[in-house]
Amino acid sequence: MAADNYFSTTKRGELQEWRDELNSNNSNNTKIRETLKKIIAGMTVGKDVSSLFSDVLKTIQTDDMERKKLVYLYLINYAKTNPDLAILAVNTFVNDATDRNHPLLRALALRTMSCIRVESITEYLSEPLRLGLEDTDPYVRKTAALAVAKLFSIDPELCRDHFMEPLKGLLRDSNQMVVSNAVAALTDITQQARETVWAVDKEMADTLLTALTECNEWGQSYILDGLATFAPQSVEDAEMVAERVCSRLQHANSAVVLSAIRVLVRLTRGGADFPTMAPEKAQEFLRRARAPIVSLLTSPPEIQYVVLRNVPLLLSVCPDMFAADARVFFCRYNDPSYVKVEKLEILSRLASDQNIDTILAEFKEYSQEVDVDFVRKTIQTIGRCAIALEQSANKCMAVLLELVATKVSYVVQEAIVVMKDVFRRYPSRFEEAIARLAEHLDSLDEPDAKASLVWIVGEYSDRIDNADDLLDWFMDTIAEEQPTVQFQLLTAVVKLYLNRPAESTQAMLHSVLEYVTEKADDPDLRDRGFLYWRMLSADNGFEMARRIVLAERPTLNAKPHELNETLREELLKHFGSLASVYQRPAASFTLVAQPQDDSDSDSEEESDEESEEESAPAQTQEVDNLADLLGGITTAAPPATTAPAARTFKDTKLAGVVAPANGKTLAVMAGFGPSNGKPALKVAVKNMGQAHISGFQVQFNKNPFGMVPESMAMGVPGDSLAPGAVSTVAVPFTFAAAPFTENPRLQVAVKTSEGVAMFAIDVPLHFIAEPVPMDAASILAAWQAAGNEDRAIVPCPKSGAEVCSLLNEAGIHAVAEGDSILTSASLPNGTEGRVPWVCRAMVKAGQMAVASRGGHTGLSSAVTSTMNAILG
Amino acid sequence: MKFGSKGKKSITALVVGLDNSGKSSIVNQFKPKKMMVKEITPTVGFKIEEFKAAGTSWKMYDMSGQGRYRNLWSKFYQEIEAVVFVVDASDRLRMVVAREELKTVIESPELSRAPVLVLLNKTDVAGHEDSATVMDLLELPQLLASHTWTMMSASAVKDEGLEDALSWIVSSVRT
Repeated sequence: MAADNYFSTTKRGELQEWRDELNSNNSNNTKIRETLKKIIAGMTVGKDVSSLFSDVLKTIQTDDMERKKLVYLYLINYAKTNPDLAILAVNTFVNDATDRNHPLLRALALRTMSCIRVESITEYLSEPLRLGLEDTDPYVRKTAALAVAKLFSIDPELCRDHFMEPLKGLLRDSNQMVVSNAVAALTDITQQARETVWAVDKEMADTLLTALTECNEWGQSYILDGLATFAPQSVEDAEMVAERVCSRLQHANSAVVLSAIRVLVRLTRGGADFPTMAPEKAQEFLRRARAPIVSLLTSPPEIQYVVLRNVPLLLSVCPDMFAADARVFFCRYNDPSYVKVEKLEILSRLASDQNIDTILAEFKEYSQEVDVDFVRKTIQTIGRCAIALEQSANKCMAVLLELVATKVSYVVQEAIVVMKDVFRRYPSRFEEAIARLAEHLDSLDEPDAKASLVWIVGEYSDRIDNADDLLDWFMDTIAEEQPTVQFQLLTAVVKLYLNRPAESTQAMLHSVLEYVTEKADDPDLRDRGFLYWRMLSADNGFEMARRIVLAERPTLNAKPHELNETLREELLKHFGSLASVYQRPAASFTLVAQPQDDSDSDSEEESDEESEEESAPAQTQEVDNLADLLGGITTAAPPATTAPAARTFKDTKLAGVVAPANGKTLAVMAGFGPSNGKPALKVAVKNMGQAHISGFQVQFNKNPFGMVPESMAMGVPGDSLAPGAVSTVAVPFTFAAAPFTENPRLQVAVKTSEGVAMFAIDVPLHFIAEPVPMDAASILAAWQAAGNEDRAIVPCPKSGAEVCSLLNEAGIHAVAEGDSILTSASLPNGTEGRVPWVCRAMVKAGQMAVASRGGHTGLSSAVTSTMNAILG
Repeated sequence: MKFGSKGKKSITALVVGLDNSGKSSIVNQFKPKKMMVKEITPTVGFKIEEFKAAGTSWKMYDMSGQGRYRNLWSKFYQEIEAVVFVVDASDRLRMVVAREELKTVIESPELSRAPVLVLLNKTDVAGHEDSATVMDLLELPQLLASHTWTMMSASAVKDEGLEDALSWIVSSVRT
């Protein structure tokens, strides 16, 4: 009794104060509202006010709209953590959602209910939602449309059955706000379902285009997103839609403009399912985007950045779009550096033999700036122009040499690095420049610049008179240099010797080889040293080395680095979105089940057979054991025929089991599949955070089958997962005599550097079962003798005979007996080896009812998932 | 007990009972004529009704009686001044369940001082149990030994015996 007192605090904190204010019988509406505001304020700054849930809930009934909004806001935030209590609010929700007088209140209640992703609440959502979709007030209809999309994420089936058609009906609503939100909802559902739930045909496109002109900018961008999925039947349709979308390009909102461009890009490029426009026409449409983009470049830097990131994509489909506009991409002195860098990138793409003079003059200006990184990037860009434009390379080189003459240390060094590539592109065009570089030997302090200069000297050692002196100068400090420089020095000295074999160069060669093979720490460097040494000391070594080391080199690729074709196509589809800004496929932002690699599974099947054959003798023995267990009622076939046919374990579908939460960023999906012919747990891990995750370990909880992972290490490549990366690994398991527990769901713990994530998964029993061939009568007898019955009903579109053969393929011995199917198999059991598992199944009206009996209990959910997996 | 003492100005009451015992109907009848609603549907979660009657302003928590929500009643015990336990007089089968639920409610320390009104509803239905039987079935005298309590018959449908109920609460709530 007394112990109670220790836990009841007498301290009166903020929470207690608020609770009293809410509960006090003297509180009037204003007072309660003020208190609620304080609570919401606490909630927004991250205070945990969830303990006030029931107290806040008590204040839900009110006519005061403001107070209602506050309470609803609170509920949305905390309903997830208090699902039981949240139910208490249902009555109010339903009342408010059907309130006759206040459309705002109806909408508010609908929105709140759909935002609370608690299943028990959503079951009451159907009726108000159905009414909401037919409401007389457009604001309520609009809210209901968005609520359908939210409901879809919780209960797709319910949504498909009852709400898709009314939602599509809203596309023809008289109010454009409703239309645009219906489009937004359908787009959202399409993304969630990963399948087309609605198609935009010509008629629909017409409707949308009409609504487009009337709604606000949010609505316009939703509708344009919807139009981006339009697949026209003819070129005329495409041109008609493109023409009407073009009017949106004049919009002041950047999102609308970019969405409009996305529609244009799609319509002009054609696709698998619709015709392509004539190239001239297509270019004409795309060129209309020029002026809007130019004017967007006067918007705030953040928007400029988004636009600039998309410009290269646009250039890839319409290269001459900005041919005369290089000037608009010139950097302003007050541009933030991220904008400047993007502009440089675009300028390098726009540079042509016609405008190179202007652009180079501009670059020269940039190289005087104080931002060192920007200056370096500018110099690199000049080099890229030199490599891309053969006719203008001289002009670029002249600028680079001018920059070298400034003697500013970082300018000189970057210029040397860049020039190295120019030399590689035009092997014998700029020899006179080499002498000028050698003057700056002393000012070099960065490894990259040094390595570049040493490479140049080595490469042209036959034409540089004092190459030996220069290299000798570097040799003095070889011990202090970075490995990159040491590598280049080694190669350069070898080249020098091969070009000018003499006593002095040979001495230098000796000293460098001696150094790298005896004193250097870097094993790669030593190996390369030994390689040269061996080569040179072989018979006829000098000639051979000349042929190899001084061989003609392929010239540098002239193309500036481009995105690969598939990524570019993918990004064009998502023009103007986050995907095109990050230049990563949109799918990489969300957790997607990885498609199975076909070539992979082929090899697995082969190895499958081998391992099965090996295990055949053990199998026979188990069958005998089982016969004993079943009390001798068996007609066990002779061992020769018990060797089972090769089994193929089909992958089960990976399902999300752990979502990132509470500061953890690891998402996990799990299923079962084969690994080297053996059954294994398949786990896909995805890092949804910003930091690397490492230290992957896996462990199973005690389970009735005695399953244990073969190794605690999960085998994630490199044992590290980069941000955004996904890795699918197989966790093979064996059976140990683990202590018996009742729960047949396999509980798995994945330990990483950010903590332990746990989930439970039904074991597909055919992965661990072994067939026990018996005739129908014996199975029936065994079934009647066995206990622990579990029942399951699964959808089954197949006939009894098909099911029978599928079961046999999956490794469960099955025979048809009348209209039912009898199966017999054994399941592992940690403590006793194996126990029998027999089922009677009946297929009727598209469903299969299974009654399972045997040594294990509580199998009904495992049987359900097994049958679902086998029936596909 | 202080009979005849002047009641409090406002009273917060908790209305509980098994599902379909008629809690919402009773509360509806407590309310002034113009606030009444015509149709009563099963309550999900709870409702709060605020109204003036019998010279007092009332705040009643009308809780859902469905089995799965009953454990949520306890969230509302704080600040409760009176308990109304509604019993369906025609539902003899579940009297035992009702007794258990009532026991759980009145055993909670927050409600140790609250007067308990057991309201026998549906006395208009033919074949209903009479109050003496119900009192026996519910073992009220033993159960409510430490509480101020009474039992009244009423019919929400016919609006019988409800005025007395409110006045009893007003007089028994300790000021």
